[in-house]
Amino acid sequence: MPQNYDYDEGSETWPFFVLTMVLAVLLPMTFIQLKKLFRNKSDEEIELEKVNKTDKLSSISDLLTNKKINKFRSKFESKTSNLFNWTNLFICVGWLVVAMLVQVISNNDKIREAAIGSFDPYDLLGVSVTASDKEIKSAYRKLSLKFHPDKVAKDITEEEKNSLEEMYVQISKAYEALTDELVKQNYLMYGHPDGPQSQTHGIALPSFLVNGLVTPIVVIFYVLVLSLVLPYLVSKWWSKTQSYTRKGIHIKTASHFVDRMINYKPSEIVTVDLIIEWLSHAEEFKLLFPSLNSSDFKRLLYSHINRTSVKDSEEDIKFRIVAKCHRLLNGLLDIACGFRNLEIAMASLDTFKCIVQAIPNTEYSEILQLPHVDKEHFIDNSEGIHTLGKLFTYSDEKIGKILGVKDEQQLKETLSVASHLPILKVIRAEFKVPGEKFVVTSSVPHLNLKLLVRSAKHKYIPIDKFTDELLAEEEDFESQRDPFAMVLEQPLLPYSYAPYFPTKRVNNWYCLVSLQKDNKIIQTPVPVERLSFRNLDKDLDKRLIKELDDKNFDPSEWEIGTFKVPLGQPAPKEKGDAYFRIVLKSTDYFGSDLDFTVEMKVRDPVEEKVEEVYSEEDEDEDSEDSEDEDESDEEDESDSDYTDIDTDTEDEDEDESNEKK
Amino acid sequence: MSGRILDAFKPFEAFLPEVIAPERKVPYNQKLIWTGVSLLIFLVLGQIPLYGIVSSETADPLYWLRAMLASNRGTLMELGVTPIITSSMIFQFLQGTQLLHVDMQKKEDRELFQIAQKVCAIVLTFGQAVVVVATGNYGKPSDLGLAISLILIFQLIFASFIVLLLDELLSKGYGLGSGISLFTATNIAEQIFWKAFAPTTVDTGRGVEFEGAVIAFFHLLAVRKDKKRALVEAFYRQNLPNMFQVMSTIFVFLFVLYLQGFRYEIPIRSTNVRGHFGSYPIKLFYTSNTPIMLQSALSSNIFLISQMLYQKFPSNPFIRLLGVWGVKPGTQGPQVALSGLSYYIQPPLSLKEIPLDPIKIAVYIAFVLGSCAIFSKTWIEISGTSPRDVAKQFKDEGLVINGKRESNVYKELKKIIPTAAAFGGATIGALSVGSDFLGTLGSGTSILMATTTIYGYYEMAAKEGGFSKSLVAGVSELM
Repeated sequence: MPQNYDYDEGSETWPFFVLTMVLAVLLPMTFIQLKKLFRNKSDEEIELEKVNKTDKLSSISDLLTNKKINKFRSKFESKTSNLFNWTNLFICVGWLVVAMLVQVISNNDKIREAAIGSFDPYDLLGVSVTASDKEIKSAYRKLSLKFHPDKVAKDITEEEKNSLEEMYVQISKAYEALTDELVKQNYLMYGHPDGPQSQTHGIALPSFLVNGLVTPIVVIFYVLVLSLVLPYLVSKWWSKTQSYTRKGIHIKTASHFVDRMINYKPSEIVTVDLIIEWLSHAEEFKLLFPSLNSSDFKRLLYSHINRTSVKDSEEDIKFRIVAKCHRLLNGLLDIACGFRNLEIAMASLDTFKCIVQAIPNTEYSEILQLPHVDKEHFIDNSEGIHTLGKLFTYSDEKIGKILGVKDEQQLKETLSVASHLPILKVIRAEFKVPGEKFVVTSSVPHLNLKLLVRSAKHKYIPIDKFTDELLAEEEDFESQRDPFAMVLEQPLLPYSYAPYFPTKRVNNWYCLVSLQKDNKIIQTPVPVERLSFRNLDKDLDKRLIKELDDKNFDPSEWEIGTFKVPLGQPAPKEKGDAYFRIVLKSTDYFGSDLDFTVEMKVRDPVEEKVEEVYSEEDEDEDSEDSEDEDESDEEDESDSDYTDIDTDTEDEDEDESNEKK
Repeated sequence: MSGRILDAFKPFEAFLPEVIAPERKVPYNQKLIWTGVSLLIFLVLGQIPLYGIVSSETADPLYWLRAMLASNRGTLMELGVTPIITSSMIFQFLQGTQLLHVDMQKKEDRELFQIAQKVCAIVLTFGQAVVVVATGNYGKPSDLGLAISLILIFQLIFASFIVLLLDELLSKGYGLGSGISLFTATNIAEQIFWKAFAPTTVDTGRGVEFEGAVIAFFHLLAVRKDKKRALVEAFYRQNLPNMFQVMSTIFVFLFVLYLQGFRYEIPIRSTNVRGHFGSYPIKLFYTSNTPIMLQSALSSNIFLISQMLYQKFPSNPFIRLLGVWGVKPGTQGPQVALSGLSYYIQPPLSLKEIPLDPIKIAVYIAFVLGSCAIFSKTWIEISGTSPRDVAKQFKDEGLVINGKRESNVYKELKKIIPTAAAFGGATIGALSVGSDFLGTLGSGTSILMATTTIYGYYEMAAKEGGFSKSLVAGVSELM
């Protein structure tokens, strides 16, 4: 290793270094951006788009969304425009730098000189690289005639003579380099016919960096970057990851929720109002709008729910905080489940609906969430109608009259929304253990729900119409290993009908599993994210069809949705029966919730097969002492997740040193 | 009786600095930071020159080992992770061959085992530091004087101690993976990147040339008049790293990643917890990069001994049989074996060597593949991943192979694991040979090591949930 490096005096090399480094970053980046431009969307987005294209609700929702909200949406969606963003700006600047560097390189005399100055025998002789020996020879003859010291004209100056002589030497060298084996070898190896030249080592950094006045600046720059900028960035990133919980809510908000939850009196009735009161203290709101206090936020949230107007200046604030509620409520739901409090969990989901549909939680909410409904008119003439199902027992005109919708077109929209709001019906709900016929002791069961998505308009479909064959699932090893895979094969849920919510939303159902005996939630909520809504387009109008028969109803044409909830804990060790209350609550729609009880019958495993295995043990030459096989119910595996029983070998022999553990 | 050997280390417990294991599970983000910080410290150590060196211009006898041991010549990282690796190898071997009985179930024994390993590492550090200084690596000790020599030894010990603690920090659960593999992989990656993007230039008479292959590619294309020849030169120049090497490095990297996915999955089911199905993957690289590491450790040691002996007794026929060393005619490169046993197990320097000496190539390939397969098969016994051990592990955890009898687990595993180990070892060996032939940047072994380590980190990160899927950007920001 040489001890001394020459710095780049004539800017010969450093532009190349910078150029390469810039290109090394720029080329892959440009490629990815271009690919994005052409492909535009990720697979999931494409799927979502496909689902939404055929979905009626989301299109009506788009139609009815008012201008202000659309403006708000476009303002925040334009941020991620494909063409104008930071990445593309960076790429443009990068290419500009590249262009400048190329300019610097092509204008640099030194580089050009170096190119000319280097010894190139082919060029000197004026022959092509592929020239044969003969051609080389004749070229050399011609040139040597021209430049031979004896042949040149007498009347030239000394200077010219010298240069001609120099030329002649070069030509003879070039000729040798191409014909003489040894010299050629030298040329190929060391780039010079005379063999290895003295080597000089350099470094492609401009010399002004190390000489003169710039040096202290460079040093200061280093110190700044290493001792200030780097620690600052790391600490900033660190505090950011520290100040938000896993669910993405601010630590302070979370601790506020927890505090409320701890101080919660069981006698207190949990209402939407209470939840909104809690929400209004969220740290996120304060961070967004430091000048406002929690009573302002509360007022704004209520004005959203009651659909009252606010000052124009506050319109945007309202949208921002309402949009934030999504994450806050999810966080609250999670915390409530951590406290095993079913009441608060359900209330926060109710609040969710109120905020999404912008209507208060009353007995009329299910009807009021429809578009164009005249609130006062409807409440006065409700005739005891609280549900969509009841509404659809009347004729279209009558419905219009009840709801106070006068316009023909508007009534059409109202009816179309009403008939497309998904209503769930449980066809079958049971606890299953893969590979077993029933739930055995100490097993890992999951809740298997078979759901029928139907419209309020549809004729009542008795459960027994769906035979066991239609509900059967595959029983091969793959599906036993990962029983949840089939849930993912269903299409994504489309965008919801939520014209008053500031952003586009996708409706979810949260599944809360609680114990019947003490009404406490036993695990974190699991969202239903995939379910086919195709049934909603079916026309099985209960006002027209009197009786279900083979002609108007074919069960195999109806989509049966599957939803599986992994249980956080294994089945009890002793046999017995346990009852669970399952609550499926929609985040967006009123009237599409489910609340039912499922029984878990835990029985001892049937030992036949296992016994047979043990009895034939003696035949095997295997010396392993498996006699003392105990069917113990060790639970060390029980709390692991379902995906893999991961006993990976990789960690163990990654390196010997690992074994030190 | 074996307990007695371990017990001999007990008094050290009070004096050894120790990293206290985390009480709670360290979150992923925090692990990332710890890993990053340790890496940074390591890299800085690798750049700080030793104080008191007169010269380090002498031939480098450790040239073959440098990459493997994450060591940097003339810096605080002169010893790299050598003491740690050596000590853990010794204890692994002692334990695997039952020379040292350790009951890994007992906490006390485990702790003692670790202490013994650490003590051994410290002793080795001291020994190696003394040897390095005394052999005149930094100039003759008599020239340096006693004070400087002591300072040098102290620096080396101090730096190795830091590395020891860093490794302990990472492997005790604060970081991702083990420190040693991280440091080694980083060192290799650093070297590869340097060879691809080095800003240093060399002028041998045909103009300035960049050392870094990628930069040289652009530079040559711009500077040379004959673009076609410039391209050829950029891809095939012999004296400096070239683009072909870069390409083949990338190719080998991708190919190894592809092979990492090869696995035979044994379907298993739990008898303790019913309804719990899973699979036990037996990878093609069952023993990961261990065989190639052992193989390279073996050949490096042979080289080291042979080289040292040759320098002392250049004319002894037996030593000449072991290896004749010298600079290859026509290059300025490091010392290489020119004949003897070392020559036959030394990787070929370029493809051109194949027609020149086919016997050497055949011997070399047979040596690498064979030794890798054997090492791999032996390693599963030593490291406790043999069919018997895995079957026992299955039994302890109440796992059986789905659709097979409980007692058949061992038989079934015996069919698969040794085959996978031997075949995987040979594959790793073949890959290493292949990349040596292709002429990757850095030796095939080091690339394999770096790749497998990086893949291990990727898997770890995926498991720990490092890659959270982001929502649609605009919406998630608002909500």
